[in-house]
Amino acid sequence: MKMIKNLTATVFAAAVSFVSVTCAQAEDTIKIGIDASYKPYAYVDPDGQLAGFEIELIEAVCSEIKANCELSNVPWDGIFTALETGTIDMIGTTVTMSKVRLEKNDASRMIYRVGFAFMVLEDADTSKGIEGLKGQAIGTIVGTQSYYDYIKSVLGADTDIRGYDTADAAVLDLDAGRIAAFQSDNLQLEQSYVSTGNYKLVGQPTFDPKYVGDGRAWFFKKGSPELVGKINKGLDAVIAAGKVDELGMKYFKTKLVTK
Amino acid sequence: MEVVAPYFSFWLKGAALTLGLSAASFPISAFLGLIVAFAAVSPSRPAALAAAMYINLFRGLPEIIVIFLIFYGSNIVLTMLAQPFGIQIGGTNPAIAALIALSIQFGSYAAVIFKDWMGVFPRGYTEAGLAIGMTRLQIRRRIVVPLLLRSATPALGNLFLVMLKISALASLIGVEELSRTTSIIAGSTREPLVCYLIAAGMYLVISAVSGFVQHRFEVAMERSI
Repeated sequence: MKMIKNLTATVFAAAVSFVSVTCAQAEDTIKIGIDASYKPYAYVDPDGQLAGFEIELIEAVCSEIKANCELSNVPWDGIFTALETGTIDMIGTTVTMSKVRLEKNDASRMIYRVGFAFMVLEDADTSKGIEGLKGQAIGTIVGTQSYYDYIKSVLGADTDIRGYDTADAAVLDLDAGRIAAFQSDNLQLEQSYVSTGNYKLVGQPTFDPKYVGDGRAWFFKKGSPELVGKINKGLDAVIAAGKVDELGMKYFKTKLVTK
Repeated sequence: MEVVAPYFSFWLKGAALTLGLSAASFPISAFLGLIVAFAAVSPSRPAALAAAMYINLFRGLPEIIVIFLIFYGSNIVLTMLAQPFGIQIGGTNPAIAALIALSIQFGSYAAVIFKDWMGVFPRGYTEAGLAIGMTRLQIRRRIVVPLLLRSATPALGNLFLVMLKISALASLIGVEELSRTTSIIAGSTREPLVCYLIAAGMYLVISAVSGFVQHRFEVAMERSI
């Protein structure tokens, strides 16, 4: 019972201290919500501290514009609701700029574009490039329409496309020779598979907006041009200084495309 | 397993918050339940009506909706109230919102438990109290409440276990209790199955401990008769 009493006391103490902190908050604090459960984008290290690509980028931008940023770990499911209700001012998770999202929210400038690529076994013959994959079975992630459209337009509409639920399942079939190549986003392929030395990409990934869309950005409540302008200024400076390239190499083992 | 091991202290904090959240909101909901139960059986019509409304409303609403309404709703209200004064409020702490939501919601369940016990409460006790000149308040405090708490302990213990598990819904508004901690660690280590198995083990330990505490409590109650 004593333990429960202590716990109760801890919870209340935490609550009371929180309330006083928020009341003392200055007006220029930017509350940023981020779902830190996606390694390497954003995650939690064993000490319970936030870490990852997005965290470091936010810290760089905030120190560039000398803003007081308050990061909190908000689950993805509720992150847009949190934005709408003013619980947070900005979504720090980099979100794909889809038409529907842009209608309802403001977005920062594009931070990076995710490319599409084909991956094969390290010892496969890739001398003919992507053309060499024509007529063979290609694996991809099931239900991602943009992947299917891309494969069909570069390899022909009659390509044998096999959909997998997860990248790991597709790679298992790649190992077993059931598919000739696995098509997915270049960040995932490079960071999780190519970096092991057992796989390689066929040619260069494509970043053509026709296939890959408008890239990823940070999101804000509709009608906050002041904040968006401030953040964009910081982003421009940080990107120009090569920070995104540096973080890309650190977390994704590849250079990020920021244009 | 080696990947997950360094996260244990972070994990235990989550487990402590799960236990702490329920341990803090349970007494509140029991107290709320007791008051509502007295109101429900009171001769005053407005009080009885209000109690019936509260019970039916919160017994009927899903916990997740109450949690969302209280958390996001309070943020909207606070912002609206603060705007005319030109101040900015940091927003509700998700843990406090969850605490309030769980207390209010489970207060309705507790109220029904108490109300049912009041229905079968022997009239003789109250009459005996009146006979020796006790006031209505004294009868309630010295006779009715202690006996009610004793008879309702098993049902309340059950309710506590339900609350422990329902409190996992607080993870959806960002409270870093056991469920949210687990999904963060699963995403940070890319070992979801191991993480969820460990979390299942932790939930079992927490409910075993609370079952043990309840048992000791019941034994102590028996002795005190």
